[in-house]
Amino acid sequence: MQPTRRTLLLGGAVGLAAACTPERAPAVVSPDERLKQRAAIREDALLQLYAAAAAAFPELAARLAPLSQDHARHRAALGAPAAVPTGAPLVAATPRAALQRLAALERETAAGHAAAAITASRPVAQVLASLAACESSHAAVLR
Amino acid sequence: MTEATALTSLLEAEHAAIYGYGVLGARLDKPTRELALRAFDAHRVLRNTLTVTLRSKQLPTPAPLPTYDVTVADRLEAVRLAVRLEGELAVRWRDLVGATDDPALRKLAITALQETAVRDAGWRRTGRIAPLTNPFPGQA
Repeated sequence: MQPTRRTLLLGGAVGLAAACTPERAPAVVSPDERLKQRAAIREDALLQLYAAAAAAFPELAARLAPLSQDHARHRAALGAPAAVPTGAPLVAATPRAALQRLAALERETAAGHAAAAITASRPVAQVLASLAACESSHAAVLR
Repeated sequence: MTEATALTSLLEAEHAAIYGYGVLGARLDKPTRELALRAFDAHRVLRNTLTVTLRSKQLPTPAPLPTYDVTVADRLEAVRLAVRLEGELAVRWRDLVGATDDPALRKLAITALQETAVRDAGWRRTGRIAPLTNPFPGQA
C-alpha cells in the first residue's frame, strides 16, 4: 500500500516522539524519596553556608558549630550519604551580615521542608516537620 | 494514633499550657514577661482552633481541669516550666502531623510545631539552658 500523506506525517510524529524519549528509563523514585532527596539538598546548602561563615569569621565558629551539627543530623535522618562541606565562598562583609544570611537561608529551608511535609507520607511528614521546626528555631537564635 | 486522639490530647495539652503560662508569667521580670504573654496568647489561639476543629468533626471538646500541679518558685523555675510545656506540646503537634492526611490539619500542625520550637529556643536562650536548639523538635 502506498503511504498516504497522513500516514507519513503520523510516522514522522511517532519518530520524533521516540527520539525525545530518553534511551534509559529514569530509576523509579518514590514521591517520598524525591522529597527526602530535595530536603537533603537544602540541608547541604545550609551546611555549606555554615562552613563558609565559620571560615570567614572565626569569632562566630563556636556559636555556629551546634547549629551546623543539627544539620548534619538532619542529613543523616534523611538517609543522605555523608558529605564534607566544602565551604563555598561567603558573600558577607561583616559577621552580622553573615548571621543574617544564615537566618534567611534557615527560614527558606524551613519553608521548603514545611511544604514538603504537607504531601509526604505520614512518617516522612513527621521527619520533615521536625526539621522545619528546627530550622525555624535556628533562624530565631541567629538574630 | 488516630486523628481524633491526637486532636483531643492536643486540646488537653493546650489547656495545661495556658494555665502554666498564667502561673509562670507572675515569676518573670518585665522583659521576660513579654515573652510569656506572647506565648500565652499564641496558645489561646491554638486552643480555640482545636476546639473549632473538634466541634466540626462532632468530637467532644475536653474542658480545662480546675487546677494543674504546677509550682514555680522563681524566675529560673518559670523558664524551665516554659521549656517543659513547649517540649510536651511539640511532641503532640508532631503526633498530629503523623495522624492526619488532611492538608489543612497538616499545615496547622507543622506551623504549630515550628512555633513551639521557636518559643522553646527563646526560653532556653533566656534561661541560658544548653543546648539552645533541638535537632528534632517533638521527636520523643
